[in-house]
Order: sequence, then C-alpha cells, then structure tokens
Amino acid sequence: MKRFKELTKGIMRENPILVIMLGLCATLACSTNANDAFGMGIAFSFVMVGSNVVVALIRKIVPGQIRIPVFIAVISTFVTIIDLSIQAYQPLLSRSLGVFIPLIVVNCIVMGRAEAYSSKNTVLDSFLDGIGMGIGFTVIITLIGIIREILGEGTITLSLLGLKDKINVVEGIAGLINNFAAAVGLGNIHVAPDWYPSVLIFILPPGAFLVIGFLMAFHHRLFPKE
Amino acid sequence: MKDFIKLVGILFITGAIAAGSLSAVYQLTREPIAEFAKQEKIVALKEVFSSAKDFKEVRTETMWEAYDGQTQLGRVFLTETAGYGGPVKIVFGVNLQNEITAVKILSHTETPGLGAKIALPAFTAQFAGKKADSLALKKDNPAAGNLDAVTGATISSRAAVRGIINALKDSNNGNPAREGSSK
Repeated sequence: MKRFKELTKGIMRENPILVIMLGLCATLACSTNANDAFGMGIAFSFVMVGSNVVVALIRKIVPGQIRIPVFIAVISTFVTIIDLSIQAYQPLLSRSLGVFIPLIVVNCIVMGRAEAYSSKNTVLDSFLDGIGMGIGFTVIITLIGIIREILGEGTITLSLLGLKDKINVVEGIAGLINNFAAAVGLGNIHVAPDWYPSVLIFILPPGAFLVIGFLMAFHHRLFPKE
Repeated sequence: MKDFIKLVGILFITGAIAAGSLSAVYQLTREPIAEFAKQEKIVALKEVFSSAKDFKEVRTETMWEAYDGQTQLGRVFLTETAGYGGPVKIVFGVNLQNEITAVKILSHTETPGLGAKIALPAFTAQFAGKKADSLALKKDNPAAGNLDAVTGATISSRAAVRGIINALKDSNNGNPAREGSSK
C-alpha cells in the first residue's frame, strides 16, 4: 500500500506542475495546443523515469561532492536519446517542440527528484516515483494544452493519439445546439459555426499563466493543505 | 590526492558510458532523420510545382530547375527572410511565363494566431498565378497591389512578399539568394 502511494502521489497530491511548481517553463511554452503538450509530457516522463532509476542505481557509488555533475550527465543522456528518437520517428512533433526537448536537461523537476528523492531511495521506489511524476506532468500539461487550444483556437489536436483531424469544438457545439433546437421544435434558432471569436491571449504566454492559475486554485480546493 | 583521482575516475566513467550509449542511439536514428529531411524537401518542391517530375539543384539549397522529362517548366526557390519573430523560410515556384505557381512557408516563428497565419492557404494561395514582378500588398500599394495582408500581421505579410521578390531579384542578378534587406 505504501508502494502504491509512491506512484499516486505525483499524480495528484504532489503534482509536479500544480504543487511542486518546478519547471514551469516547459509547461508554459509547450502547451499552446493539446498535441504538443501531450508530446512534451511523454518526452518528460521518459526522462523522469530513466533518470530516477539510474540515479537510484548509482546512488551509493557516486561520492557526494560530484553527485550533481553525474546526475546532469545521466539526465542529459536520457534527454538526448528521446530528442534523437523524436526527430527520427515524430519529426513534426520535433519541429513544433523545437528547443524545449533539449531543455528538459535543465528542467527543475527532473533534477529536483534526482536530488530530493531517488538519490535517497531504492530503485523500485524511484521508478514508481518517476512514473507518478511523469503521469502527473503529462495529464496536467495536456489538460492545459486542451483548455488553451479550445479557448484560443476552438479546436483540439491530438494526432499523437491517432486522431488524424483536429476536433473542431466550436463547430461541434454549434451543431449540438442546432440539432437540439430542431429536435424540440425551435427550428428558427440557429448558431453559426463560427460563433466563437477565438481568444488569442490563451495561445500567447500570458494565457498559460491564467490557465495554470485557475487549475492550481481548483486543485487546492480539491486537496486543501492541512 | 587519492580522493581526487577517485572523483575524476568516476566522472570519466560516467561520461564514457553516456557517450557510448548516445553514439549507439545516434547510429540508430541517423538514417531516419536524414531520410525525413530529404523527403520533406522533395515534398515541399513538389507541392509548389506540382506539374514537375524532377528537380535539378542549380544552386545548393536555394534554387532548383523543375523538369518534366527533358522540358524545363520553371524554377523553384528556397529563401529565408526576416519576419516579425525571426527567420521565415519560404519555398515557391515560378514557371516560364514568370508566374508564381505556388508558395509555401516552410518554417517561421511568427506570433501564434497573428503572424503565424501567413503559413495558411488563405494567405499563400493568393500568390498562385500572379506575375512574379508584380507582387505587392494592397496595403503598401493601393493602386497596383494584388495581395491582401494577414489582418494584424502586416510585418509578417510584408516579409513573405519581400522574401520572394528578393530571391527573384538575386537570381536575376546572378547572386545567390540571401536574406533581404528591409526595403
């Protein structure tokens, strides 16, 4: 049961974005649409799990004086592996995430977990911690991406999950209202497909702060601190 | 001193393992990465000059001659110009009648939602069929302009037009295509 907690704490109680609030740079920059955000989440999770496991493995061999450079070497190796793999197999994602994949090297959550958790805990616990942190990060950054994309452009893109076309939420809502109106005999009510004026600020950097702020408030309401 | 050697040794081993595993990954991914870069260029060339079958590179990375068998149909240019947020890479074709066949924005870093719209067909499709020496934004030249700028993104729109004009001018002067100056 305690093990299970190691896994779930990263998802909600100690969520890396909403509670630990480290490494927000990548969260802000890569959440302009759902697809980029999800891709960033996966890349981050890979690095998180890999570095946590390796750091836990070598925690007894590495002397304290040089642990930081060794951790950074471990992290940057995993980052370069995922960077090259994305370039090779998801070239379009690599194009839109650009420099933010290599920048995971200096992401404070990864470094923070290595220093604060996996350098003091067993391999299995560190692995579970990494998975939990990865899931927590991916879920929240994707949620931010979805909210920003809907408010800013009226669509949801998730080609990584096999959705070829964008989901046009704005048109979908208009269609629903029109169908409903027709069904209950209010045929003269008609909503134009482009009824929603995209709110540009949500895909610009300030929009990310707004969305994260509201999510943090919501999270705080669900999981109040003692 | 003994401590020092131990620390250096551990750092050395860490570096060696990291370098070793990375070179293995690099070997694995090198082919697909190079393949994609090549494919992407051919696709982009075809997209702006769909009637051509072959492209002969005349100038490295900036100019191709478009062929259908033995007959030359026109030329394709790849050019880079300064946009609002950074470099804008444009690929476009010109046929023998000196008309633009199509324009495609390959990459840019313009503002999302504003300048980024220069990459959408609503803007780029306007170029098709226009005489290459008559390109001008209506906003800049009310009398002879023939292109609508993207709303709220005049600088980005201007950059696209200027990039095309400069690439053509340079090719006619026999200079390699280069980034245009502000005029």
